[in-house]
Formats: sequence, C-alpha cells, structure tokens
Amino acid sequence: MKAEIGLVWRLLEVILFFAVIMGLVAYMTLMERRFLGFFQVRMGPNRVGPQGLLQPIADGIKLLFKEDLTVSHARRFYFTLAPIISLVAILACFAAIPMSGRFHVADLSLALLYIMAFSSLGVYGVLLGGWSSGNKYSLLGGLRGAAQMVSYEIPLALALVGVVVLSGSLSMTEIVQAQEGRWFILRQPLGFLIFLTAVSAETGRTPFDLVECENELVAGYQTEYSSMKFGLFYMAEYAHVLLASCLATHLYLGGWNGPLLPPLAWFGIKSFLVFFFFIWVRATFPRLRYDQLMSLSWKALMPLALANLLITAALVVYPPFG
Amino acid sequence: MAGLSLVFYIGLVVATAVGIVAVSRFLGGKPLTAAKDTPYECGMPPVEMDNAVFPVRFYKTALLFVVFDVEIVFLFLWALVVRDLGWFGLVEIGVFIAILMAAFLFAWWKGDLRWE
Amino acid sequence: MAPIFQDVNLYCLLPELVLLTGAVVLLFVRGAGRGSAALPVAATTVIVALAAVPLLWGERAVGFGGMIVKDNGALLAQALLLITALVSFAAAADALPERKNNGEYYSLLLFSLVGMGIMTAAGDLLVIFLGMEILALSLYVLVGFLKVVRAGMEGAVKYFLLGSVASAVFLLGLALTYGATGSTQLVAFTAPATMPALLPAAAVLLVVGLGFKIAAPPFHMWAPDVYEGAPISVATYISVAPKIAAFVVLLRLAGESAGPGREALTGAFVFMSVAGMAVGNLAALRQTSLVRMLAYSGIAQAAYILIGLPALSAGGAAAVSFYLLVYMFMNLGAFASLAHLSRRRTGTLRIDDLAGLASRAPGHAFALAVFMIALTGIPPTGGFFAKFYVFKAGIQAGYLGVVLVAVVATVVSCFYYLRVVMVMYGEEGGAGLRGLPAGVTMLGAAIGVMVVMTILTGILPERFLQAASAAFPLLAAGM
Repeated sequence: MKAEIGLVWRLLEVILFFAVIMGLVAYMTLMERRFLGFFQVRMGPNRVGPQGLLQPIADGIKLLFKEDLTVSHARRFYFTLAPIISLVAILACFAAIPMSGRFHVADLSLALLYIMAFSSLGVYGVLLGGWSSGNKYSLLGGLRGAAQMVSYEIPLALALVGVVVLSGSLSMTEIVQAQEGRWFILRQPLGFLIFLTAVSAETGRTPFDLVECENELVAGYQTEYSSMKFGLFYMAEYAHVLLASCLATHLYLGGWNGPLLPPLAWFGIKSFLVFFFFIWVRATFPRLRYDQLMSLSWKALMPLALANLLITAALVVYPPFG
Repeated sequence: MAGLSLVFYIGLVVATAVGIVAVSRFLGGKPLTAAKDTPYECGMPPVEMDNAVFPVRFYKTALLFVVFDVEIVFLFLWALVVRDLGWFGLVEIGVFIAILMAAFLFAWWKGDLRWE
Repeated sequence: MAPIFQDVNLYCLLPELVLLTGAVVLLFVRGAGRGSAALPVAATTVIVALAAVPLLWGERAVGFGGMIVKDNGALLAQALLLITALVSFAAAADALPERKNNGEYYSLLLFSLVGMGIMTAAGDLLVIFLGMEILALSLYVLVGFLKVVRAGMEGAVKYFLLGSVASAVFLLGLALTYGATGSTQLVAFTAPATMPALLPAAAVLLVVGLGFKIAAPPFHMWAPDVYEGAPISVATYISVAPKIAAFVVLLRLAGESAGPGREALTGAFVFMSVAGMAVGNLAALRQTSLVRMLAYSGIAQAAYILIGLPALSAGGAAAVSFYLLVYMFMNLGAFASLAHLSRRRTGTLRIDDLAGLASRAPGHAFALAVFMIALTGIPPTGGFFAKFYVFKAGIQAGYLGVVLVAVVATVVSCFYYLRVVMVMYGEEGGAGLRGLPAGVTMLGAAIGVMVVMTILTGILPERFLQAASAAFPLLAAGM
C-alpha cells in the first residue's frame, strides 16, 4: 500500500513538474515581449490583466478558437504531425533536467545523451512542416532550417563533450555536483561561448532566425500554419529557449549550487539570467546572411570546439597545477 | 521507478501536444472561405509540388553532418573514460580527429562548405 | 579500469599505415594530368608499402587483441594486391581523361588497398566486414569515376546495389555466427557452438556475401557491366584485386570451419563453383566485346579456383594460392593489354577489331595470345598448372563430379579464348584500332613482365607452388 501511495505522489510530482514547465513556457512569451518593449523604449503588452499578466492565457484561447487551416496541397497527416513532433521533441528533453537535487522527472545516468537525442528530433518537425505544406517558401524554409539545426548540432555536441570530459559523467546531477567548487564556465570559457552560439542557432532565433526570415521566406516552414498548430511551433521555440537556459545553467553555471538560497531558487535565478541574455541578444543583433551562418558553424565553431575539446582533455589528463 | 516516471512524463507530453491540436480543430472549426485553402503565394496557385527540387548543397551538408554525428558518438564514450586512458587516449583520439579533419579539410577544399 | 590496449601493436598494420598516409596526402594533391604529382605520389606510396612487406615476413605480427593477424598468407596477398595496383596505375595514365587523372582517383585506390589489407589480415569477422566496406565504398566511387559515361553510371549503380545487398548478406551471416557461437572471431568456427543449428546458414551467408567480391553466383551479374562501364584501369584492378582479397578470406573461413558449418560451406563452394563455370563459360561464348568476354571469363576463373576450397586438406590451399598468383599475372596481363589497345578510344573494343593485329603489332598480339592461352589452361603457361593443381586437389578430396564439369568447361572455354588468338593471327584487315604508341611505355613494360611471369610459372610451377604453400602453412598442414 505504501508503495502505491509513493507511486501516486511520484506521478503527481511529475505532473507538477510538467505544469511548471508549461507555465514557464507560456510566461516566457510574455517576458520576452515585455523585455523587447523595454529594449525598444515602448510598453509591450500590458492591457490584459495587471501588467499584461493574463496575456499568454488570452493568446492561448485566441489560438484555440482560430480557424484550423490546411492548404489543399498539403500532405495532411505530416502537416499535422510536424508541429506535434517539434513540441514533443523539446518538451521530452526536460525529463532529464532536474530543477534541483530533488525536483525532477528522472535522474537519468545518460541525461546528456538523452537530451541530445530528443532535441535533435526537432529537425524532423521543421523538415516535415516545410515539406508537407506544399509551398515553396515552406519547403525552402524547412530545408534551410534543417541544414542550420544540423550544422549547429555538431559544435553544440562537441562543446558538450568538453563538459563530459570534465565531469566524467553524463548524468545531470553528477555534472552539477562536479561543479560544487568551481563552475565549468571557468574551466570552459570557450566551450561556453560555443555552446551559447550554437544553441541560439538551434533555437532559430535572431540573429540566427533564417528559418523564418520573414522578408525572404514569409515565415519559413511555418508559412502555412495557423491556429494551434502554429501555436505548437511557437511553444516549441520557447520551450527550446527554456531548455537552452536550463542546460547552460546546469552545464556551465554550477546548476543549483549557490550559497544561502535554496537550490531551486539558485536554479531559477541563473536560468532566468541566461534567458534574459537570449532576449538581449535578440534585441541587439541583426540577422546573419545564410552563407555567413553556415561558415560560422563549419569553419569557425566546429574547429574551435574540437580544439577546445582536445585542450580540455589534455588538461584533465595532465593537470597543470598538481 | 525512474523509468516509469520517464514514460509517464513523455506520455503526458505527447497527450498534451496531440490534445491541443485536437481541441483546436474542434473549437476552431473549418475555414469559412475556400480561398483560405490556397497556398500563401503570389499569382496562380501552384499546379504541383511533388517534384520539389532543392539545391544539392543541402544534401552535402547532411552527409557531412552524418559523418560528424557518428564521430560525436565515439567522442562521448571516449570522454567518459579519458581519465583512465591517460596519454594513450589522448593520442588515439588525436589520430582519430586528425583523420576526420583530413576528410573535413578535403570537403572544405573542394568547396562543399561554400554557400552562394 | 585497466586499459586493455597494450596489444594494439600498430606495427602489424605498417603497410596499411603507409597506404593510409599516402591516401590522405593524395586528397590534397592539386592539379591533374601529366603535370600532376598524383601518379608519382601514389606509385611511391605503393612501392614503400611493398617494401614494408618483407619486413613483416615470417613474423606473424598480431595486433589489436588478435583482430589483426599479419601472417605470411596476408602478406603474400598484400604483395599481390600492391603489384596489381601498380599495374592499374600504369593503365590509368592512359585510360583516364587528363582532367580526371588526379589525386582523388589514386587516393580512392589506396583506400581500397587499405581495406583489402585489413580484410586479408583479419582475425575477426567484424574486421573482415570493416575491410570489405572500406574496399567497397572506394570501389563504388571508382567504378562511376567517369560521370559523363552513361554505361559507367549504369555499372556503378549496379555495383553499388548488388554490393550493398551482398554486404547485408554477409552481415546477416556474421550475426548468425555470433548467435551460434557467441563470438565473432574467426576461430569461433572451430569452437563448439552453443547453437550449432545456426552455423550452416551462417557459413553459407558469409560465403555468398563474399562471393560478390569474386563475382561468383549468385552475385556475379555486376561484372560485365562494371568492367565495360568503369574506366579500363579500374576494371583491370577490380578484375583481380578484390578477388585475391576475398579468396584469402574464404581460405581462412574454410580453414577454420568444422562440424555442421563445414558441410554447409562445402555445399556453398560446390554450388558457386558449378554455377559460376556454367554461367561464365556459356555467356562468354556469345560475347563480341572483348571486355565483356573477359568479364565472363573472370566469373569462370573464380569458379575454377573455388574447387580448391573444399579440398583444403588435399593441398587445396597451396593450389588456390598458386592459382591466385597465376590468375593475377594472366588476367592482369589480359586487361593491361586491353587497356593498352583501347587507349584514347571511345566505345568498347570488339574482338573483331583485333583482326590483323599480329602483322601490325606483333609484340602486342603475342602478349595477348600468351594470356589467352594461359587463361584457357594450355601448357607451357602457368594457367595449365594452376588448373592442374586445383583439379588434382579436387579429385583427391573426392569432388570428381565438380572436376569433370570443370574439365568440360575448360574445353568450352577454348572456343572463346582461342578465337581471340585466331582473329589476331588468322584474319586480315581490321581498321578498328588506332595507332599504337611507339617505344616502351610504362604499361607496355608491365605487360612484358606479366608475359614473362605467366610463362615462368608454367616452366617452374613447383617453385611457385612451394612459395604459395609456405604462405599458408597452417592450411597446407592438412586441417
């Protein structure tokens, strides 16, 4: 009997975790719009509820009641499948992200690999969405998006290997524990930069938003999407940013380690700061050209990440200071 | 236990995503005019899209990606044991990466990384 | 955790490392054609690798925890492969258009040599597969190297498709072997199997998968199209090198097998041999194109060699390796002559085009005649003794029926081999050939060496046979 109660509690905890993630994703959209307003010296949405706090809910309801358009040329099954894949791929990753030592879905020993595996499934959403729309802009946007995500996955993964070399483990908990004395950002400054750049490109946000690139491709692979199917892509994007923030926190910024405050609070603060950084970048930089984008990944980030990895490994095997 | 909550969580995620789409279809209803079913493009509606042609560069990029993705699988395993392997592990991975970089530089040299 | 890497022993892969370095360097050699450094670099690499072979001779260098066993058999095969590569280089200089005669071509060729070196020295089925794939991937590209030639693309696609299927078949056999014995090592075949029922199927699948490389039925159909469509230098290479490598692997497989696996292997060898002789010889009769005739003749030749495999204990191993040696000389010579005759020419060379060659180019005609006589198996060439030893081993091991088929097949083969000789010497005219190069060319010299060796193996067969049996001492000892 006791075991069953424990199980029910565990499942309730998982549901709570999921609710927190979904809530965060919803309110990140608001935060971003307000902060962008702030950066651009305007107000941003502030009418729905106090300070616009009900805006995400209003958006959700609006999207739910929108007409569900499917272009007559579209391959209907894949057209519907694509946004679902996109969202599921990203949200599933959070199962391997503990918010603190206790609050998590599962403490996977292969967490990092799990995240790599699921997040790279997101490419299928982009490709399928672009291909199944039956629209040239969508197809091009989908191909570009896939090529971009695939290209940046390599420096991203190589940067992560650097972290694994330091921690000797793929488990998030152990990676965080390995940073109790010194955060990995101090030992992997270059790796951190590569990670941030690559992950921004993976999320497809400015300055890497060539997937959408509204003045060339209308809205890229999302052109034909409307209603909540569009909403799912939108949620996937923000979930991806949230994932990136959490990962940066765990892998480079010491996770939930920190003095005085409880671990959950430290995790929240750090993740929020990283998220704020992403918004800041979006508000600051112009978009890259596509050839610049590809060169950056293959000709700069990838060799740099490999060099970083080899140096890290050499320093781990032969520690310079003892 | 961990496996169960993982499966439960993924189930939750899938159910949410599918549920949202289903609810939206139910609530949103069908489009009001036929014109909304035409693709977002200028001019005449496209006749067919099945023979969509795309630049071969995307294909080359995908090939390069596969090569490096497989490399990364090895690197993850190596990273876990690099401490135990010592100098031997360093040399071996150095050789491995050197061979890979030779192929990469060849692709670069042939212009497969050039866009536009 | 203690690393288990003390026994890596890179020394045992010395020739492969040389080839690999050369191949990587060649990727970056600029320019093409006469002025390019590609051919000299490639030739130097192969010669250096060849020089490394005597260093290892007799040492039986073992590396990678027994996954690589560089014994004399592997070294002998490697030497033959390297010589084949050199001859194909000589042919490539003429066979490829200037623009295409560049580093990539030679690089791919060296990669395929690496693959075969690994294949022949493998002590583990997985390593064999690794070598096979390195070989196959390089060859797929080489076969379709002249992208503009339609026939070339057809051949390349056929080769690729059949090759993939063959690889899959081999892999399935590998998986079954693992299921039966719990190991992928070659010696696992002799070890008592936990599930012996799987072994026959495993053995047959492995052999059939390897049969693709030697163009043995049921994976033989690629040969004519590939030889016709590929650059002639590549055809020269493919008609010899992968066969040598695959036969060495087959020798090892046959030598290691025991029990139920052995019977299945024998059955597979006999089937492939008889089917190959039937298909190869009958189809060769009808060919008008010289290269297609040689392709079918290659299928038939491989089928003769296969007779020796079930008869290992009766001297089959030595007979097979001797046959491989002679096959290399005579087939390489035939293809090299073909390359020489069809240089700078578009379209395939028909047998009728050779009419009157004896009066216009007696040297070439003589060389080609020697190779044709050797391929038929008429003394005093090595071809006769190659067949003789294999047939003898077959009879001694009790495969009289197969040998009888082979004898009939040999008689049939006289028609198409000797027809070439008759056309060259008996008929007049023939405007099909352009002017042949004057003076001594690299390829001409290679052909000369092949002629001498083909005859020499026929005059002193015992010496060569002893050398060949020394290469496979374990097998010759009567396993």
